[in-house]
Amino acid sequence: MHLIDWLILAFFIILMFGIGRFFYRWIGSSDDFQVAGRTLTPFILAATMMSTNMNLYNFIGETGSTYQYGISVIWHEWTGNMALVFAGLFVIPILRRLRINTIPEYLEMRFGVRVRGLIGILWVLRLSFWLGVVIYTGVTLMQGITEVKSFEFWLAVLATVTIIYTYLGGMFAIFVNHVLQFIMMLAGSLVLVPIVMSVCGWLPGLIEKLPEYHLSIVAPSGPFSWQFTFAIFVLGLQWACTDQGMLQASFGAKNIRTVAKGVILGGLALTAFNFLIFAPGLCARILVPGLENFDLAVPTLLANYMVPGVLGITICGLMASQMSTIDANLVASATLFTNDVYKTILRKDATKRDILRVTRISTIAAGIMMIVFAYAVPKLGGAVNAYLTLIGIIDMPLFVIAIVYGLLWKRANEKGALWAYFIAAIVAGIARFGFGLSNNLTTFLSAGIALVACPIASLLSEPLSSEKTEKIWKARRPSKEEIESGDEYNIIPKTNIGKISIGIYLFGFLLFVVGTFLGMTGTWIASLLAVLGMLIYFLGGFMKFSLE
Amino acid sequence: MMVFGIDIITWGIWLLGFIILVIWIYIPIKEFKKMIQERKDAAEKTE
Repeated sequence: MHLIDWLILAFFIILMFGIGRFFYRWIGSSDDFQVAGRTLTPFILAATMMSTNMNLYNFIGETGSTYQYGISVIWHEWTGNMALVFAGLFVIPILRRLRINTIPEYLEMRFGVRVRGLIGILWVLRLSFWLGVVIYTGVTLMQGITEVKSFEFWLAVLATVTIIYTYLGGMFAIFVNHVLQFIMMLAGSLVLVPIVMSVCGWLPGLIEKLPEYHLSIVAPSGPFSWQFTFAIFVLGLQWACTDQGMLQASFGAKNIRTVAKGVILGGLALTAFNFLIFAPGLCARILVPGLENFDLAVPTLLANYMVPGVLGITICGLMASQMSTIDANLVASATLFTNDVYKTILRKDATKRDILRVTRISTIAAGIMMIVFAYAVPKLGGAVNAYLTLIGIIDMPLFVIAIVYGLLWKRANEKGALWAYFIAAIVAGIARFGFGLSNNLTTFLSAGIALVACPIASLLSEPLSSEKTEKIWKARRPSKEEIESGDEYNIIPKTNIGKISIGIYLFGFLLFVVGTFLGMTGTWIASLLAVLGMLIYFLGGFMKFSLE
Repeated sequence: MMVFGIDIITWGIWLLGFIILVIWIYIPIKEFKKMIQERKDAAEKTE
């Protein structure tokens, strides 16, 4: 790095602090800190969802996988975007109407306090571990690209900057920083892609020089094959409907239509952006072949091809990608602890001032746990893979309980939820670690067991009182306030244009499924159908929220 | 895919990314200005 790159980096860091300081005065309550007072507008919401979702796992990890295995890993992101559209259309409006701040809060509303407490504690620990992994990858990148090789130095810089502006400005500061960070990430990609693509000979050069199936969007075999696409789509649904880091942003939206619009816009914009992120991975295969550690593909490209000044902006973009994930998950972790452990179990009579104070302190505590886990990551070996395994086991059953049965079947009760969760998680854990079942099949297994166990355990125990389900079932329809303001959002479409939109949406989904399934043949038709299906699916979703 | 020596697919996606960049600079600035104004108006009302 040259002096100008360091100056750009320093300016960027000072700007982050400044934004946190500015919004400190805006924080008057825990709602302001946790969900920005529910004042967010669609494009800010979309930017924050995209930024929270993008980090070095994508820029370094997934591009490294692209280097090694080909473009088909892009479905990891594209199915996530499809899941966002699903969540924006059908699930998040319900959760937003309930005016909750956390998913465990919804779980208490629907099932009972034991489910809330269990998931609250599990998620605080899981989020802290994830934060440790995220910051570790950020530190590793900065050690690799810059002349400063000290782990402690970069850990101190990344952790201090993010913790302080998050502590000061809460979700207001996070949302503003996310817009800036998204712009930095996209600008960095827009600079890098033409440079490396031109050296490779553009798309014809990639086609000529890359190994077979490297450009197959739906691959017939390998770790990111058509089977992976189906499995990651299911995991994506779970993530988009229940991930606290993502949902907390949508809870900050002004109203229901803003939620749907912001979430879907985020999914659409990210789909185009994803290709710009993955293209350098393909180019690196040609420009820097034979890398033993393929995660170094993009850092090596940056070091070799970026000019001074532009390198500084790109590094800010990469650092921004980490910070945007860290800050949202710091607040998510703090919110989970404050709302689902402190307020619910430890101190039920806490005042609003207490809650705000504890939320802020929990942000610092989550930051400290993040630093501790960052030191542990290299000792664990394959930590990112371990994390993906973990979410397949402990998060999939939650999706089935909270969303599938929670929103669609009144008879599902607390005992059914608890039994389904434990049985599914334990059996899936044994299958994965004891019998070496693949991540893909573990995901389907844990979901399948929860699907079967929940109704059985629910039917064998007393039904819940109707009060538990009444509020949630009411939230499936537009509220009185929405109707009075003339801006109601109907999940099940009432107008002809709404019904046509859903028809297009479902047709797109069907085409995507057929194309993905045909991926086993290894033909280009499979990729074409799957991508076309995805685009039609997006079109239907876009039409639903914008025309109805 | 090469038209007059230009990779239209790559540049087409790049152009889409550039349009997204412009939209996400322009509209959030408008939305933030509106948010700050609403905040100022609310503060004046309580005074």
